Amino acid sequence: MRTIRFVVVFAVVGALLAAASLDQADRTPEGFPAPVESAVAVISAGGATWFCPGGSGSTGPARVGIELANAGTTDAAAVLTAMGSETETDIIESRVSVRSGSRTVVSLQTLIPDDPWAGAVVEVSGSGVVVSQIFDGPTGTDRAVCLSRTADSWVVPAGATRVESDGERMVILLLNPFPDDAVVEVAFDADVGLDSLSGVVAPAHRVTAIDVTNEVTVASNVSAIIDVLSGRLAVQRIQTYDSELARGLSVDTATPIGSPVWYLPTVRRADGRTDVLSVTNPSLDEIAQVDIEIISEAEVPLDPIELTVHPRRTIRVSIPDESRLVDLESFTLVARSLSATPVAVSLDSIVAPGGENVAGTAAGSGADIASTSWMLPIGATDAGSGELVVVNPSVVAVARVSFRVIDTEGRRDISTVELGPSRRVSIPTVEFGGTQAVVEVVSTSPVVVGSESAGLTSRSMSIGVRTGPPTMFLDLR
Amino acid sequence: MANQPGEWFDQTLESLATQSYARLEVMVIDSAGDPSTAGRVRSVVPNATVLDASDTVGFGAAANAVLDTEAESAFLLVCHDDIALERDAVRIMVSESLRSNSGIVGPKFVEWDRPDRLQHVGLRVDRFGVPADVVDPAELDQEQYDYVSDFSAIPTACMLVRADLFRQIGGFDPEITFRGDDVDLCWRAQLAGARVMVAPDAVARHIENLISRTQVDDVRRTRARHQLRTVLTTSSLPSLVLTIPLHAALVVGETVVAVATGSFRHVGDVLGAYVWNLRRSSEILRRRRQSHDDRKSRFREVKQSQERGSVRISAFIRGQIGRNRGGIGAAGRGLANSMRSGTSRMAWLVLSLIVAFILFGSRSLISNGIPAIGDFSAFPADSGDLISQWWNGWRARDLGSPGAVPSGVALLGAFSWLSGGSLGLVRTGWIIAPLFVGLLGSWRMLSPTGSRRAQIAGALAYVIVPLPWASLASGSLSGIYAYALAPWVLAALLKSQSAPPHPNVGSSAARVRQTSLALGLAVAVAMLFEPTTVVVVPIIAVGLVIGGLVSAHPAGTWRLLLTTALGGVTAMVLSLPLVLDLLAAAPTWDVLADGHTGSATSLRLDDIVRFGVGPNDPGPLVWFMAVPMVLPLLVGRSWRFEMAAKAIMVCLSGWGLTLLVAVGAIPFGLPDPAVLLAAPAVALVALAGLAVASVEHDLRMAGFGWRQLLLPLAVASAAISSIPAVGLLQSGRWDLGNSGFEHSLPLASPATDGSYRVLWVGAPEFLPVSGRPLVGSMAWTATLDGIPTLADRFVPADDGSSVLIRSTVLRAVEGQTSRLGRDLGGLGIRYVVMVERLQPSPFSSADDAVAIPPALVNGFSSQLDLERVEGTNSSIRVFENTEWTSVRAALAPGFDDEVTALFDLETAKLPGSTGVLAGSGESIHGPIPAGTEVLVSQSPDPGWSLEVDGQKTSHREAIGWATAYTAGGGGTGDLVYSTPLWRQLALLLQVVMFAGIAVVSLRRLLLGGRG
Repeated sequence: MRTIRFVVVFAVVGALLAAASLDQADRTPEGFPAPVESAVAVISAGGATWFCPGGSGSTGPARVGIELANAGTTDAAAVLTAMGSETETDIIESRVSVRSGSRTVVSLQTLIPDDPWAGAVVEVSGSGVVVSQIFDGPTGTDRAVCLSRTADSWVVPAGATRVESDGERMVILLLNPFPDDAVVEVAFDADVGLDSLSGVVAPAHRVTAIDVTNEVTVASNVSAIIDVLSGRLAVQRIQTYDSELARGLSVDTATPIGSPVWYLPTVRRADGRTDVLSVTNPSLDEIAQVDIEIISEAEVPLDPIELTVHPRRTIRVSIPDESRLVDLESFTLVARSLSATPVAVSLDSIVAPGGENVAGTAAGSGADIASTSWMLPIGATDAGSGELVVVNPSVVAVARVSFRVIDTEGRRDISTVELGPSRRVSIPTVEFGGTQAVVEVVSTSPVVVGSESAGLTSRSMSIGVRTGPPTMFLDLR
Repeated sequence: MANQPGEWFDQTLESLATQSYARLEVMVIDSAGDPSTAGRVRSVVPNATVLDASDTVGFGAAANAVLDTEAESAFLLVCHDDIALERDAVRIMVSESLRSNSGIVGPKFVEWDRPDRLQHVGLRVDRFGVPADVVDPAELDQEQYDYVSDFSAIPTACMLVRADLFRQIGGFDPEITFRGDDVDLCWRAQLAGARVMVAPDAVARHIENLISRTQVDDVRRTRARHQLRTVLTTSSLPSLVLTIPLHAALVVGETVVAVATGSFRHVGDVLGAYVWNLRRSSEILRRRRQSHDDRKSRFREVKQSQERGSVRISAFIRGQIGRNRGGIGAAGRGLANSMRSGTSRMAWLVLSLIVAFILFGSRSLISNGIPAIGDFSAFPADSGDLISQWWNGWRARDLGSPGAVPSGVALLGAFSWLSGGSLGLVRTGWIIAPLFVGLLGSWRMLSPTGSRRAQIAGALAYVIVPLPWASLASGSLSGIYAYALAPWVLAALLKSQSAPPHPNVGSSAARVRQTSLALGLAVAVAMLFEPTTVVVVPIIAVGLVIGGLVSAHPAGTWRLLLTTALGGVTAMVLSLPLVLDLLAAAPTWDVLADGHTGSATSLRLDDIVRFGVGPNDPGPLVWFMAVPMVLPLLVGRSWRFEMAAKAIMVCLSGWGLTLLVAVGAIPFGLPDPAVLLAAPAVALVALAGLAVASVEHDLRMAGFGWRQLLLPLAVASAAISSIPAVGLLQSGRWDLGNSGFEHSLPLASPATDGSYRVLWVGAPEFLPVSGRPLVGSMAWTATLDGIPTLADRFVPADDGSSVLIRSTVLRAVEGQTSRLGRDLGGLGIRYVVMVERLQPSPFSSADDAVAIPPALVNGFSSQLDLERVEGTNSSIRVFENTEWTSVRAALAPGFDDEVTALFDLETAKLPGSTGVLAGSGESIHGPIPAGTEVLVSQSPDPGWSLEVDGQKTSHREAIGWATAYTAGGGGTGDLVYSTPLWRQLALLLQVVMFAGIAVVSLRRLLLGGRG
């Protein structure tokens, strides 16, 4: 009896100890098959919805047209819903067809002629259609790929509002494509101090413009963090420069999400050119220790630029002022948050008039994700030069990268290159033929694709549109 | 008194002939007039007198023949012909009569063949003339009644009556033929001032088998008549004023039960008693006058010797009716005995307190009603709806599908109807009453221990265990029903093993048959209301098997397994409609999973062991339950230890399974944790009882040592562990909130724009009805026209087209569409309600919330056609679909020409539509515009048809899954569902099976073996 009693008590105690051990096991609940959250635009297999915050009306700084470039093998149909800034009745629905390999541009001023600002939502059925915005204003031209997502927080890392002295004007456009009004708070961090806007209502189905020039006056550097308290938005910045030192139009979609790693493929150092990297820490309370790494063709790796970015603040790095970059011409910057605190980055490039390079301004966000398949529409604003840059973010894998051009003449394979770990390659866009082409980049391992183009009178830079599976940089080796 | 006696008669005569009382003269009254009787008598008692009383009818009239003789004797000894007295019996009775001056003295009756078993030691009689025996059937004679005592009556089988008294009161009532003559004579004797006593030293063996000798079973009829006659003739007038209405009320109750059980002879017998006595009213009045003339005692004195209350009701409540030899009338004999016992009084007191505890703790729920929270679904406005929804065979929830609603819904509807439409009362009973069923089960579960104290401890533990209160607070009806079912299951499976203390009688096959039937019936009854409760059975069975193996007492394991299997089969047979549904459709686990996916949850081991699965966390004091729980393991011996080992393994099985579910180790969904924990909770109840049994049997025997310290420790621990339960009494509603979501949802009336669906998404325990698994810890369900009602609660076995909803939702989550509203609109979904808490704020806190995963929120928030409804309660998020189409909508013909699948609606949205055909259920009416097609967004089924102005319309598949009917020239439309005949036959068969079981069970209860 005593033995059996011992056995039973032992079994009970043993079972409870085993249960206590099991209780400590990781119990991460099964997650939802949610899409990877990324700032990079993406085309899904079955189609996509593009959110284009748009630009101004005919008298504004950035008249906008919506360009649909069909790189797919079949004709595509789309529904474009234009939304103005004045009344909800301005919603205009337009059906658009795009033949394979061709581009179609829809002018929003045509659809909504009276509103000072206009944006659009483009619902595309069929894969392979990239939707971009083409801007044209008194100070220049630009282009920006539309957003493929909305979000409830946005970061605009850079801008300037010295309108009287330097002709700098900064406007933030909020596109609310949903049936509910959205309410936002905007926190500004400028060289002249901090400021904020509360309770800004972005009405449903409308574009709302915040003229930062009126909110934070005479600031050479302004960043904005936009928290959407209710609803979701698509956000974009329009920046104009009109002075002897800088003249141009820069339109860049805002960054919808922070990331610990960003790649900025196209950075240059040249006479008369000023590239400024802005790093914003949108966190409420975490300090971000950020290293700016340099990927170039240099034999000896360069030491990173170390930054400390306090919560809700922005740090700017002027490339011409960095002595360690003095010998470099074209390179890629990697912003890596060592503390894994998500940050947002952007690159603003100004080429002053009077030099040998085409004058103008351009702005672009980085890529927070890598992929094996990209698309990039090139050279639509005007004829000129440019480069397409591919970066291999892996430290071990060699990427075999193939380039293909899709245009009205069909699909053509251009070249294939091998890209070593942590290397970049820059290919002049003239190699891709006409100015109405979409370049498809396919790689054996995840890469990042970006481009910079210089027209006759303006400049532009952009990150490619992801069409392949996403790979987070932290998951790469 | 002889009436064609059998062979035993010689022994009767010999016992008289050999009496030590010298002056005994034997007179045999032969009521049958049998010529051979005289010879038989004289062969044994040569000087005996034999009287022929064949001209009389009945015992009383025959016995009164002695009054016509010239026999001069101080005492009369009335004896049946199946009595054998011990040698000194007459002398002892005479002595006692003289000593105590009593008028009637009786012996101690023992069984003829087993003289060590008591048969009667006097009778106690209630005010209705119903006798209750003092001794239990076949009670062992251990001299426990060997003291002289007064009684209300003495059986006429053998009684010594003072001759003058007998003559004074006129002997027996000649109208009382058999049964009841003893009570009548003794009451009249008492009214005449005589005492009625038993002299237990006088022993008489008695056969007592009147029915087999008369070949007539008129026990009930004659008893009813004679008892009423005795009351009418002997009671005082004031007493009659109270007694007769009470008697009539009892008769009405007895009649209702008899009608319910189909025992119409019973009805005739009890009602006929009044007619019989009415016909003899003049005779009764005469005898009343005679009694009055003879009366020397006050009625009050006689009444004081009577049993209080009703013997029959007491026997019925205690489940004794039908189990004793004598049926109803004799059934209450144990009551008096038990009530004299201290532990019995304690048992009644504790049970009463527990019932009061539950009622007091639920006072606010009872008085204010129970809100529609969690499983506590609202009832429809009319009780008839419950029955019609059960009979209909079409389930409107999700996207609609054919299937049976559990028959408990119809039962509730019937109760509501019987209660005059008191839906609220029935709904409260639906939720609270199972607690009492479980309490009764716990009491019976511990009855084989033979310890009333163990049963008391178990009953106390039943309310101390936090699980039922956690289930109530979390709106888990399945948890409540599982807790009510578990003791019955545990009792049946323990009994199936026939291990001590359970009796090992009868053949093994008979035991398996009996226990599996009991098990199956219990499970089937629970499944009528909560199909998921069936999982309690395997948990307990596994625990018992492991317990048997670990304690090295595996005997009966195969019987247990066989009983489990057969019980399962029985339950399935009794749940025929559900089983047929499962067979007719592809079997789906959703029916049992209750919306769970098998994903890990935040439930920790500490919560599991403390049964802290509700918002009313019981706190750490519950851990003190561990002390009494381990007591039988440490000090128990024999069957106490073996049962404790099995019970603790049941605990470990239930806890272990719940933990495995919590960490996500089970690859499929299982019901609510409260259901899984019902088995260990009831095992704890059993352990509490076994702790007391161990103290009674084992601790007392052990020498002084550490074991003795356990007793005060266990008592103190049990007291401490009860504090959380007592603390919950404060709210009067076990911390359940005061309101459901019905007042927080801004849902439009379907009468305005047409019928619509609401898609509910959230943790399974928060949904208003049982959900289907979505992903992770999330579940979904869709209901028609707003807040669901009871019939929507259960997941149908047939999915219908419901998979479309899940795939549509996932499409949004994966970012594959920004036009979810159009997809949902094609499913008739107008609202999406994301539920993050069980109850609206302020009745729930953020700590109890299960947040909707951001991916899901973002997926819905990113849709261009879903509008967030602002200003709703913080416990929910509500989206309104701006592109919804009514579940029954009139559209232009060819409205879906560009749509071959549901998701095509994202690019080719439906044109404008008009909601038509209002109503619900199997028959839906309304005007239909001419030249339109009617899109009916529900799973296609051949049972549905649309008639316009009486003409059946053609139909086709629409938008890839639904049905479109051609309205033609328009008119009044009737959308009708024809329930398949086999479904209704299955329902009827189930009703017949349950009704049969109920009738048989009640008849057995009421009538014993003869039933």
